[in-house]
Amino acid sequence: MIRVLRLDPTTVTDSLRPPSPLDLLAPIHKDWLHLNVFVPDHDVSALINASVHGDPASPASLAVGATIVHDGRRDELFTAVQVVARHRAAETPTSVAVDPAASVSLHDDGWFACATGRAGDADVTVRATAAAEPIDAERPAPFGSGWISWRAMPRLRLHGEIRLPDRTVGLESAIGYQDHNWGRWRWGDDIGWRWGTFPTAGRDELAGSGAATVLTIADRTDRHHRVRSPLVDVQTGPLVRRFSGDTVRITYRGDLHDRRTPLVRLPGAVAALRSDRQRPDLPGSLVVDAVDGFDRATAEFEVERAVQLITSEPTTSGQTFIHELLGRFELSGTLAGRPIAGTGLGVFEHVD
Amino acid sequence: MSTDPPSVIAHDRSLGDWIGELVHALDDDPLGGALRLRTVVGPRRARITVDDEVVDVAFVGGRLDVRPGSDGAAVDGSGATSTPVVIALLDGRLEVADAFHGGHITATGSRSSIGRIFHAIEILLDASARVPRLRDLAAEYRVAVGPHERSPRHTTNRRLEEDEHAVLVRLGIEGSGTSR
Repeated sequence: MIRVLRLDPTTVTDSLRPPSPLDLLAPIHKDWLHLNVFVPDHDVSALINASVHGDPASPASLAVGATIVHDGRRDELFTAVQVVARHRAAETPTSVAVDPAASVSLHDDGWFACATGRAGDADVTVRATAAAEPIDAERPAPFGSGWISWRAMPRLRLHGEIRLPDRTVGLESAIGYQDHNWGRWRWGDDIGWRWGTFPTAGRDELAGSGAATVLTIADRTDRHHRVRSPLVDVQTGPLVRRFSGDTVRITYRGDLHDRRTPLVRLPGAVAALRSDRQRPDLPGSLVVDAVDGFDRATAEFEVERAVQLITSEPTTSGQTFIHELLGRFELSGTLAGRPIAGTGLGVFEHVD
Repeated sequence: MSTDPPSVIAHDRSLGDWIGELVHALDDDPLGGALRLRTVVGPRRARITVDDEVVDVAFVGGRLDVRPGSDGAAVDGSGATSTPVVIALLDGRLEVADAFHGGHITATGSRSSIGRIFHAIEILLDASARVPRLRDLAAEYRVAVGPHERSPRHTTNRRLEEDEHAVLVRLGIEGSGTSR
């Protein structure tokens, strides 16, 4: 069913969800803030993630900052993963900062979200306002040995800059995405997900013809991706369309490793431990199809670079592998009889 | 990988000092890494070489015993590498398999002894997610040894990968990379 956007995204509020002192599952608490930046004019993408893992009261609890910047013009990848004891990170009810690698804050000084990231010689500074209807999946869903909740703002209007070794890229024409995940699970559980965001370049007004489109895919799975629960959210102008279940199909094509671009695996010490995951089964391209007989949206995504982020459970032995696939997409389809089309930079996450 | 910022850097630590710190830090592993390390190593003695430093290590009465390496002394197995390789591994720029194939890490000894050396290293790597002191040591080591711009980089051994992939596909362990 088509819905017309009515919610004022600037009024949406969010915060970290720490466990109560009585929560028996506090040791497997997870809470993370994620923000993406796409600058199609300059062929630059950036991912910034700041997260906390474990019982806030436990000295074993961790904070992790991760930043990935891809300069497509030079095909150069900048990466940083910084793991610190949680008490060494700066944490407020609406922010996590693991300096210098990554910090993300919500509702900061009038902005919907702010973020900074440093990965090698690349520096990112972002301030964002909301430009879409939020995706709200706060109802806890079973996930491994616990549950997961999340919410996302699929399109952001950005201010700030990305400093690269050879140039500084302003974010006036950039597109952003932000999400927040929290819950109770163990890294290394029988869990996985597929998630992606594909925002077309162009006008980001919430109404009017010619408005940009953004397709967001989220699919909570088991490690082998046999159990699936896909959701596709498509927003174009004032229209919001959501597809789920059998109306969504994700098809992997080709082999990432045929591209001869090495898979960067971080943190290196854990990558050395898990050399069995040196060559994961990842696609060179993929297609997200959402078709229900009335409306259709198709995103064809070509992977350019990939990073494997290995997350470890702070109190037990176990890892989960988050593969960040960065590249370009082409979007097509029809919503409420209106054609949608566009291209841009996107990211797809394959987690197992 | 970056880790907790080091508070105190001991630039003059010897190889034996670093090994001693790593083994001591493992005492903090709530999953019993320290005991597992001693069980795996048992009564064996290993020779470890990093750059031009050589030490012989063993557990004697449960305590780490580190002695200067000597060609004349008998050891059960030995391993050698260099500081740039260690940094490249920590940075995720070099895979362990590539380091072996490129000759950046060497190991000698019986199959059992070499297996135990790498089992001991795996225990340390596995504990690094749970033991803050191990992450501190990684950060301190990086600062102490300084920048290593010319350290080995990730290379793809295409022939090896293709051969391995073919075997795994034939055995039905790995997909052929088609639509899933």
